[in-house]
Amino acid sequence: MANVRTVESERPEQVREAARDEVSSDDLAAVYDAYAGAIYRYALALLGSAAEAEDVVQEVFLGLMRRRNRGAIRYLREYLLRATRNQAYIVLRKRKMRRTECETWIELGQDLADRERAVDISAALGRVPAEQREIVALRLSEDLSFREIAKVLGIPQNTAASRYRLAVMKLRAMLAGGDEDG
Amino acid sequence: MDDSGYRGWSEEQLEEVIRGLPRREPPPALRHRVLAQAELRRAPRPRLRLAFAALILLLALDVAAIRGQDTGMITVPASPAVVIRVQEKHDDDLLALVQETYHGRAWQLSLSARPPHAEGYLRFRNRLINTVDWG
Repeated sequence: MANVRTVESERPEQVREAARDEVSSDDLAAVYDAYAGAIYRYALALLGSAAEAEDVVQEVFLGLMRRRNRGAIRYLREYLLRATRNQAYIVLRKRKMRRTECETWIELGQDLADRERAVDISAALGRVPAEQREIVALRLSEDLSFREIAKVLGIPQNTAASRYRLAVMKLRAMLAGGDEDG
Repeated sequence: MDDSGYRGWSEEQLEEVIRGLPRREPPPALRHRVLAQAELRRAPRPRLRLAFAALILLLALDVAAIRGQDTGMITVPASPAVVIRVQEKHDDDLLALVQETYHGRAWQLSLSARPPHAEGYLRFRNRLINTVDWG
């Protein structure tokens, strides 16, 4: 872990020495600054709740702290996103009630020029099934390739691509006023 | 949902629009919270782990020495007070161990009479105590 900052700054996808030894505070802060946003947005896409997403972010980083002497992490971003997914599913299993409202990774600030569009798209995304929405989030928010998405989700690449296409078709239909729903 | 603006969009257009929308960031307070929690839950530092290992080693050595003494393999000299006490009664037996240098009323022990392995054990033990950072 000692060289995370150096390697990260050169090529974030090629972290080979991560989490091998003691994780220093500086290392953890550097990894947080690089990946907390992606983790938070992905957790939001899975859970639809900002408060729960924050808890997931915390658990993911504490997990990284605890992870020592278990070999190097080759792809830190994929590792962290996989950990995010695992933590989010733990939260989902514990949930007693189904959420009626779904927050997404899209910022809906008052001062946005295209706030109305952001609200519409965010609402439509909230109606897409979570297993499709998470792929849209990883693809369009974090710019992951289908190969990378497949690794994070542990599914075949073709499955990731077809779920994505299905989600985009549904979104398009919903935004155009059609009846596509979940 | 107002559909007038979205009808006729291609999938590529929709993708581009979603990509262009501003993304939420974690609240700044979360960074502080995560790093503070991580610091709290940090595992013992290597220095403390080393001290713990040294303590165990020390105890193991002492146990081994005591057992060795019982079987006559190691002779760890008794404390000066004991030697002096015993010497008063059996002077002849302890002449090899006690150097007869008298400073006031105290006897001084000569360690040269110890067997070599006991000497090494005590030296190693002392070095361990003196060099380990006990935190």
